[in-house]
Amino acid sequence: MSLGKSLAHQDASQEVAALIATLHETGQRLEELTAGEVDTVADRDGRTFVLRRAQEQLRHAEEAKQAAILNALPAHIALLDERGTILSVNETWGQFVCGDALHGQTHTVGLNYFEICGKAHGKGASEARQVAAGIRSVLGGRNKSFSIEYICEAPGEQQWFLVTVTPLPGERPTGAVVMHLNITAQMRAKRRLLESEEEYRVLFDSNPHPMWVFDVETLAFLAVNDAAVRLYGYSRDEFLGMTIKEIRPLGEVPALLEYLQTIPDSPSLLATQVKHRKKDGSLLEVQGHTNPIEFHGKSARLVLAQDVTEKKRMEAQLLQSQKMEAVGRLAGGVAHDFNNVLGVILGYAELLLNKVDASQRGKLEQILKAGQRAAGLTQQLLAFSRKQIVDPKVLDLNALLLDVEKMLGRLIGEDVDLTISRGADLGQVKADKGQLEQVVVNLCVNARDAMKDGGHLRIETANVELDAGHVTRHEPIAPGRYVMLAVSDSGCGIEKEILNTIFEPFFTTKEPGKGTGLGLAMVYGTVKQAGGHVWVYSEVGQGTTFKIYLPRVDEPVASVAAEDAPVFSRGTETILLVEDEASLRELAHVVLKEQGYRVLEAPDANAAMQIAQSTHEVIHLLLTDVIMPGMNGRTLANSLLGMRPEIQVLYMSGYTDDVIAQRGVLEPGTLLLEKPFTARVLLERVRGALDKAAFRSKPDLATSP
Amino acid sequence: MSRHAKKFKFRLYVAGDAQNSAQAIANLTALCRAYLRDRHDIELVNVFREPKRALADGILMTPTLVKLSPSPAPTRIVGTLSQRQPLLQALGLEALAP
Repeated sequence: MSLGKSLAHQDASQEVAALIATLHETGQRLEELTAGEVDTVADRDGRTFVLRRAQEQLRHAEEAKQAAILNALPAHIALLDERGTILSVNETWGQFVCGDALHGQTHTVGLNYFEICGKAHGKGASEARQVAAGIRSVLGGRNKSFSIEYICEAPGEQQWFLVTVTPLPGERPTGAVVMHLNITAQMRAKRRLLESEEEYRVLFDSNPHPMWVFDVETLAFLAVNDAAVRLYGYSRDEFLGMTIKEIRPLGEVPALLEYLQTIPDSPSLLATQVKHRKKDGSLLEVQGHTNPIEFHGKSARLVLAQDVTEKKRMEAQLLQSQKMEAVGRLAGGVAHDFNNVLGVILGYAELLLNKVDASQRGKLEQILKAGQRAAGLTQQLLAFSRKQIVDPKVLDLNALLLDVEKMLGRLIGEDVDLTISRGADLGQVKADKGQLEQVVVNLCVNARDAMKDGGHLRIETANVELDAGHVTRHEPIAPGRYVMLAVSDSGCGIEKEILNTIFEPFFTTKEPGKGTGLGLAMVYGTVKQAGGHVWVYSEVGQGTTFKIYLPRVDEPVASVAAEDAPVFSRGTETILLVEDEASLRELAHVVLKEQGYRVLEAPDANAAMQIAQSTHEVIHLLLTDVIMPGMNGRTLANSLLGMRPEIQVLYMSGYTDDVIAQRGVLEPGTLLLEKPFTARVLLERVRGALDKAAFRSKPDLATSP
Repeated sequence: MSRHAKKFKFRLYVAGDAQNSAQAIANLTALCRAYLRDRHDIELVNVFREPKRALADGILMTPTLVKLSPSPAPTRIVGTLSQRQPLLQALGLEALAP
């Protein structure tokens, strides 16, 4: 436009004045003609003229609309020119108070916004400078827009604002709109959301059971909690780079994939029992609960995995001890009856020994030998089933080892080095000496067999104190003071899979004919009967250690009475023989009668009582079975002693049960003949019992030095 | 009411929200509500938006009311339509006047 130049011309300005005058007159005339009732007029060519009143009124209406819109906005809005001068503000701008910095009612039209920002001090001053720089960048055309969030220390409370700077349209910005929007509510909601998310994250992360979320499509871990990281050994990052297939044993992956096909999509709680693999390769028994969820927009499953490894181990242990108990009962029952049968075989074979000619004796001796071996086996079975009659005495394990050392040397041979390390000040234990010797022998024989090419066998004794920690790590055993007997070898070791079964009777790894499968069963039964505990540790190819813990007792060691020299003589005394097993009763009768004794025979206690009541004859000895139908041997003896206090009592038994002694133990001092017995043993024990009675009946002799 | 059954069709040319135009709209609407309930039709033409249509229809001033029917020749009335009586007369509705 060349208007500027034309204006400079005098003629032009006069013409402009004339035209305005004409325009004014034209407007006035049109108003008159239309009686003020018309807004626009047009000519036939379509040139429209808006009458002046309508013009003003339309302009005001438009301005009012714009102002209404701007004032209705909850934002503080100002229009700046290109130099930063405030041209216009909305009503809300005037209410903008923000601490020491930026704005206020005084910062209105005509002031320079850059100056206001520059003067800002205290809190918010640095934000004010950032805003100023942002406005400059927009006005300078370097940025299309600018925005920044800032905190405003308004009186009373902290407020959040978002300031945006938008340029006015045009090739070069001729100004900018500055808008401060209060976003405190949104920021608070955001913070509440974050806090709530944090709360739920804590619930997930702090759950004592491992938890994770996996993607149904890719099976990738999407989230894992702290317990999972702790238990499985993978870091969180490692987990998130893995799929759930990688925590399963390889063999179970196909089953897992098949299982995943069957999980319903509807919400449900499913519990499954599976094996999981830790980072170190060890396996866990896990009970898993799965729930379908949507996670970050993906179809996923939430899994809660409960580690039941320990629980399963305890269950297995309980099962094992129940099994041992059941096997023990069975073995004990069989052994008892078997004992009686053996007694008859051995007894008659021995009787015949002196009555056949020399050419046949060898055969009879073979029968006797086989019978004695069978009797040895039944003793071990009974020891395992804890039904064997034991004679527990307080004893010193070190002394016991001294006794067996020589025999052990012969047993284990020259290829094996034997070291015996006796603990100093070793405490006493209470156990059956013979059985404990057998325990040592059995363990040493096993050790020898495990070291075919020689090796080291070490026997060790020590005082140990088992605390609660030790007690919970191993099988149930009361904490307290124990005496330990350890037998270690450098042999082939025992495979993990069979460690649980080695104590079962008839379990053997030895070649047929080499082992009975009763050695360790006997060890187990004997130790349990003594209130102790066996612990075995084995490493295949390295060796095995058996540790036996026996409760320590503080009583002094029982003095071992010098055993009488075997008295094998005839007798003429009267013996009341009570035995329910007919063949055994008959055998005993024959043996005793042959040696000159007078024998009164009864199949049960009642018959025995009748005999005692009906005869005036002196009865020197009651030889009775312990367990019989009806009245048991102990009760019979007590009744008879009431009538005839002079009677001596000798019990016979293969085992006892609770009737006679709660733990298979007869009272100390009771005379007992263990079944099966040979004729020789029977005669010895009968003679011994009778002689003891004779000694007892002469108190003057007993007290003499 | 059968003799009044004929429908009245109006077209009102206005200049946006300008005051006289706004007044004309208000007056016409009031009149129709009073005398032509349920038998009128008002079409508004904003000459700022449709200047060519006003030119084609030969409308030179706003507001202008055109009665398109029922009378055979269209009737044109310019102004704010404030005077009820002459307006009714011009529209041929004087019989309805009180």
